Amino acid sequence: MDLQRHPKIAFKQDYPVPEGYDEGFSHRVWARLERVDEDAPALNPGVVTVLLAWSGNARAWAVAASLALVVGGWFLGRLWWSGTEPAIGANSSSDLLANLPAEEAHDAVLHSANLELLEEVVEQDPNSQVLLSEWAEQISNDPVTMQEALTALPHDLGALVEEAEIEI
Amino acid sequence: MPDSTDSPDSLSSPEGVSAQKAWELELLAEFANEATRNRAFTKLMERYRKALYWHIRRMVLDHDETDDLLQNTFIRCYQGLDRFEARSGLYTWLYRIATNLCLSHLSQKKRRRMLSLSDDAVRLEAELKRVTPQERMGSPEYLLEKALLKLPPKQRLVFQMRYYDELPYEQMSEILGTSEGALKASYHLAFKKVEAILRRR
Repeated sequence: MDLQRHPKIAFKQDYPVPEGYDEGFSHRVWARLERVDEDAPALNPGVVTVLLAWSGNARAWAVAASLALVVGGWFLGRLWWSGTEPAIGANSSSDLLANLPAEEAHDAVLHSANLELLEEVVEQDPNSQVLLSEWAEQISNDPVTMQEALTALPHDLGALVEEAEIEI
Repeated sequence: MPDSTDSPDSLSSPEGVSAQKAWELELLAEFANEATRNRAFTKLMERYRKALYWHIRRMVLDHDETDDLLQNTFIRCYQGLDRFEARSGLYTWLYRIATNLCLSHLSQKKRRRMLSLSDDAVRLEAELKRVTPQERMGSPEYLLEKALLKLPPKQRLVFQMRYYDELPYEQMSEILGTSEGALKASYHLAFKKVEAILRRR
């Protein structure tokens, strides 16, 4: 099958779904949300820290500080993971690119695109010479020389490309 | 479950985007009010549940896993909605939570079973065979879905969002937190790989 020439293929949403699944969905989420509230720590870690510190015991201080660190880290982690809003602020890449001359912006996009792609590819399959060759082939069409690309690469990836003995 | 009416496609047109934005702002105002908070959140679930269900299901294939991830998506959303500043669309944000959960679930599953990328593809192929209706076996749709399973999860996601959902790169970039240039390159590479797999058959 030639995907390029084939008429667009739509995704069929026809995998089996248990009957009545839709109806109880929001109730199940509400029930879980209530359970999450019940499971929340009964003691505020800040209060625990103050209470333990009050005792004037050095060991208690250490325990309290560790507890505050762990719980604080957990909260921060959750805050981040629960979907930090994507930043579309003044420091986004597109804003930075907008301030560059057209030619530089073009190079920067090509450069960053290829490097990110390569990192992703290598992360997925560190031994894949084929994928490295594909990347090399891609940058050979860009106004970026191999030497420049290697300099810009993180050290381990640069070494990997050199090991692959790709000629451009 | 019927087809989703709130598929990401509807967000591609400017009219769709502005109507969506107005609805979301109204909903956020309702959510901020203690008296109408629960009703607002139920409305949010009703509106986006189906689109998100199929977004997740396409990635993990199994219904129970999808259900669990979808519930987690809404729970994370509820817990973070107070802090949501509407710089991006609410749907984009939800899509992003679901995507993160999905990718992390798939990689945990692969790690837990100590599977290589190709072993994982074999496991997913068996799963796809199990959930695909018999009459659709061998169809172009099935062959494409099967070929996609050979891609690493994030690349598969990029292909699905671009090819099936036709999401603009700008929105994909917001969801995946990857630059538009990298997404274009990734989609190009994914397309070439899928083409090669389909041609080899």
